[in-house]
Amino acid sequence: MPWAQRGPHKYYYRSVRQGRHVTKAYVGTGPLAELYAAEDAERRAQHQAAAQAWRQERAALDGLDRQIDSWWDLGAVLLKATLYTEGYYQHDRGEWRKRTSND
Amino acid sequence: MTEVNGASAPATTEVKALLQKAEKGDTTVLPTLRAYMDVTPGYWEKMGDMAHATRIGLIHLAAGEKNLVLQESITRKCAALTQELAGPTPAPLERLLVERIVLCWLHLHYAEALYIQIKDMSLRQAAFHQSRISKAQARYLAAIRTLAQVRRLGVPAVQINVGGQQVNVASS
Repeated sequence: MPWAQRGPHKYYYRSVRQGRHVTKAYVGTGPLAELYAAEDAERRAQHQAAAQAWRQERAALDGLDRQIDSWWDLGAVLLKATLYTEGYYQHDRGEWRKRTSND
Repeated sequence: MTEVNGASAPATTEVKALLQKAEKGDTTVLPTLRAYMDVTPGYWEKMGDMAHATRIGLIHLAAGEKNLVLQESITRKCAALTQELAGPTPAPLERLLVERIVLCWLHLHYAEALYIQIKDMSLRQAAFHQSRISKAQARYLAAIRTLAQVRRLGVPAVQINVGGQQVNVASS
């Protein structure tokens, strides 16, 4: 919690990351601390909104990519099946060659 | 010439299993595979539907839902690219492969445009977009390579019926 209540007074702290550790840094008390707290809350809200927007965008892009993946896979299956049934084979997972009686 | 009516739902997993055997050189699966392909023209139909839906979705995303002018421009560009790559009388398999290239092209350009447009992004976001671009690029190049290969092989065309409509695919 950023506010610490001690007796009748409230003190505002910020969490500050120092390397791998997060420590509390004293900011102040009174109206100035309220102002800082409001700023921090606003920044947090913006950050959360941006994170939420990114999650939504990523979900939409993942959905699109999945759709393209399915379509691509189906195309690959069709192409391979067509070429195999038409007498071709894939040499060493590379180029397609016409099957001969020796193959 | 192969004519098929009344397709059942495509059983992709079964065809994939047959393909795996064929890839290992097992030619005994070819008659079964051929039979599957003969009785399941729904594969082609499904692929056509998926390509169409994906293309429309991509165009809407790239142009924005409301920008009809840009949507129309991209649609025309895709049509022009298809025409340019396919030529006046493309073999049916080639036409499908050209559609594949065009859709991959569109996907790649959308991925790149999206990446360029974002002003502030974290390293994680940048990595995500870079990965999408790389994948789209690899797929685009693979689609081009496949068309070149099929053209070089000169797979001739035959006809099958897909949903009551005649479609030329390939013939022995």
